[in-house]
Amino acid sequence: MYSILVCDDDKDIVDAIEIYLSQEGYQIYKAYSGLEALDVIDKHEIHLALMDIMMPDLDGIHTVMRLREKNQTLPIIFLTAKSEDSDKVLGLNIGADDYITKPFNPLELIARTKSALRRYTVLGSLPAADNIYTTGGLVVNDDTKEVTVDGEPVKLTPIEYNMLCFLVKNKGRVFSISEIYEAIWQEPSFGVDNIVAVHIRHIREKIEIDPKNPKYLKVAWGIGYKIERL
Amino acid sequence: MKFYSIRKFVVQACLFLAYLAIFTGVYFVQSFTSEYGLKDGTGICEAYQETSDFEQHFVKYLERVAAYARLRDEGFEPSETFSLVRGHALLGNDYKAYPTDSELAQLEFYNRKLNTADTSFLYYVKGETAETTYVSPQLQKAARNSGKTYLEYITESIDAGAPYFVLNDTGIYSTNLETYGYLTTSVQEYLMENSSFTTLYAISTVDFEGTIDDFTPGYKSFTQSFSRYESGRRISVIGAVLFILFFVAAVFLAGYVDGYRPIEGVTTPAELRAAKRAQIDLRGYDKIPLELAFLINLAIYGLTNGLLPALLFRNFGSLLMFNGQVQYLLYFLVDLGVSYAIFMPFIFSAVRRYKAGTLVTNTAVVRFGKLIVHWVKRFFENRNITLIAGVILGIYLVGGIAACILCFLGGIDPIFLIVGIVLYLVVFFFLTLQVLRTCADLNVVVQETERIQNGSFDQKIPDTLKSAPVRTLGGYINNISEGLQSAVDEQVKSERLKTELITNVSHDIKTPLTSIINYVDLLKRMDLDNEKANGYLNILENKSQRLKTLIEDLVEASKASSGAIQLQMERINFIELIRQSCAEYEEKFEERQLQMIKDLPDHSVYIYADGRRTFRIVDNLLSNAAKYAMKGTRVYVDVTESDETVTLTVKNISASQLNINADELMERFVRGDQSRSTEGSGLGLSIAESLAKLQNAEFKLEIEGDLFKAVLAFEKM
Repeated sequence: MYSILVCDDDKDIVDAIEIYLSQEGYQIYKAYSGLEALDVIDKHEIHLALMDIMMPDLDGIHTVMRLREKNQTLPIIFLTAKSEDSDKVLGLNIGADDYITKPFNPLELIARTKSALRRYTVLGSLPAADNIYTTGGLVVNDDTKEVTVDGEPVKLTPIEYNMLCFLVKNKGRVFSISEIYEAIWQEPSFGVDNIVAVHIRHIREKIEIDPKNPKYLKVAWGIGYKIERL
Repeated sequence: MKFYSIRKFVVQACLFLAYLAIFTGVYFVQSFTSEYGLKDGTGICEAYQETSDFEQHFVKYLERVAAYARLRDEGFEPSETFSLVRGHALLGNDYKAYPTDSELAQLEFYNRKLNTADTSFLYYVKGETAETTYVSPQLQKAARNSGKTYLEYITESIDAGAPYFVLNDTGIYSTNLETYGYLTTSVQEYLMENSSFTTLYAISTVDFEGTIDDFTPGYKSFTQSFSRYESGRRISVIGAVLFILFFVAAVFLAGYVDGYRPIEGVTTPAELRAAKRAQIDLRGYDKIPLELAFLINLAIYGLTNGLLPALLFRNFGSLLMFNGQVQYLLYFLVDLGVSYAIFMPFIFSAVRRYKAGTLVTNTAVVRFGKLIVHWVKRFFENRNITLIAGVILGIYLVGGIAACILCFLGGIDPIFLIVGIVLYLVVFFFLTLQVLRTCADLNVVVQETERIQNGSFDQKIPDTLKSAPVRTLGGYINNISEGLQSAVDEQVKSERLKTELITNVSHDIKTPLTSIINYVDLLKRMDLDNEKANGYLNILENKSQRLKTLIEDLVEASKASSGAIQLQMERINFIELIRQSCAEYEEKFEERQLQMIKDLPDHSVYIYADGRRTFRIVDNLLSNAAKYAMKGTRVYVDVTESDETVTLTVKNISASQLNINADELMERFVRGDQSRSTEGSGLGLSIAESLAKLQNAEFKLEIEGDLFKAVLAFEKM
């Protein structure tokens, strides 16, 4: 049973999240400001923190900074209405593991929470093998042709699998549509329709928590696609 | 009178006395040297025997000797008794016993003159015989006393420097008394013809103190004058020294009413000077211009110099006549005194002025000069620069022409010509300097203004330009650029505030919206049995989602339109991007039975753009097509190329009638469906337009009937 800290100065939101997450079987601790959050984390064993940014006393950013300074490695997800790119970059750089903007889809919240927890608790339990390609929580096992995201298996069609495997093997590199086509079909890519892009979208929808904001399979618009090196 | 004033008065009195002393001394010296200066002007007589008076009388004596010798040769005998009498004023009376013009009377006269015991004139007339040899008794006595012969005695005396005269019968003579020219040739002739001697010797014992003879009055007069001369010299020197001392003291004291007060509380040398100056008390006379004061003095002097002597002579002339010397001395001193009284005040006024710092500044020349400069400056002050230039050049030209005319007319002295040319060149030099300065300054202004025009508003035109009108211009331009700078700053600030406002407001709206969405979702999960309630919950969910989209779009639109977005421009493949975007809408199109018809080139086409933002535009176009196209119709996605541009066109048939034109549609919050009942916020097209503009791409809409066409064009890279 994992303990999750929910910290936000808006009591209604905290209560709502409590309801969602306790339904998933987690124990919930509540805090309404950064100082309270630090206090709770000191006193109890917390496995994940959901943190708002705009709070009185100590804001989310400073709270996370202090936590990381004290070598608290628990996963932290920012949950905030600050949705600018710069805010996201700041939050993730400070030491948060994920960033969710309000208003959020509760399902997305639950999915990301689970994913973060799995990553945290399943650290180092994967054997390093030649034909296993990983990035972040995405694991592609080329021996068994199995794909898991944070432990959860994902069902892909053969072509989808080939494409994903290809991209994960070359994680961090951007491939254009024609390059991916040629790699998978071994044919020159003239006059083909939009198969590649469609397949990519399918893959994305399957492995990503939020396909619109993908974590692994990213679109470089006008250039191509890549699997992020995490 | 105050103590200090007494001191000053005493000093001044002493000064005046010293002044008088100097000139008294000078007077004596002068009167001596004028009378007893040597004829050739090399010096003065220091002893009586060097004077012309002596020489004159000596020559007279020689003549007497010659006449006496002649008379004696002719047989006349002087009375013996007389020759032994110590002669004095009775000379004139005794020989009145004889008829005055008889030769005996003459002899007696000569006898008295030559043979008296009190004379310093010694003679020795050596004749051929003892009877024709005549010796002055003094010589006899002197020779006897010194045990020498006459000749010996005479030669000794001559060697000792005594005045002498020796003549022999051939007419050759020797003497040291030819300074004043009394020994004329006629005298020599007289001497020659008046005797039959072989040699005539005559000397003077220069013992004028102890003798009484014809030399005596001259000697007395000389001595007196000489002693006056000596004391005069002393007095002059002492007087001069004292004068200098008192003058220095007077200068030191000048100008202070209560004495020099030590200065306190000043820090800079300039302040010290000013404080010292402030202590000087300037009288009315000190305040008039220097030249004027001098002229006043000069006038007074002229008047007094003319009037005063006349007055003195008329009223006191008789009184002053008794002693010529005293009269002259008094006249001299009075004249001096008056001059002193007239010019000394002027000198001390000058001293006071100097101490007060107004010596030069309070002169007519300087004041007039300042006035002229002031008028000229005033004249040129605020005039048109063209006028100033015209006037100066005009004066210069006229001056030059006038000078040339004068030259031609008058044959001027070369000196004036040279001076004139030099002046001309000097003025030309100054004018050129002015012109060049102004031009250089203008250049500076032009350069700086160009920089300002190019956007660097903090460039300032320097304040150190030489030419005044250009400096003013520079000041104006600086002001303008400052104004521009602040206007730009205002603009930037206002844009920033606007964006901040929207961001902040949207953040504040999102928070309660989050709760709404959450609780609506929770309610839905509760699986209420009430059908109506579930329906209501659906509506709530839809609407709150719409709100969410609306707010996100609002922020984006605001940022895009104010240009507050950081674009990441790079070289991207437009075709790739379109393919990627189309893939996103496959399902959505299928849902509404829309057929996507693509006409894309086989090759890559590269543009310089921000990938994410360009996707947003294309996304919006496809999204609009997905939302508003009539069900079951085709959506055309075409890409065409020209030499320089690549164009994407998305065409579809609108599901509902489009009652507005393209421009209005692109306005914010305007949607094709006037009733605003469909989804979407209405900002999409506006955002797309802004994003396109930011990337220098063309974006336009064309509506023909039900045909809706969106065009996006980029420059090819």
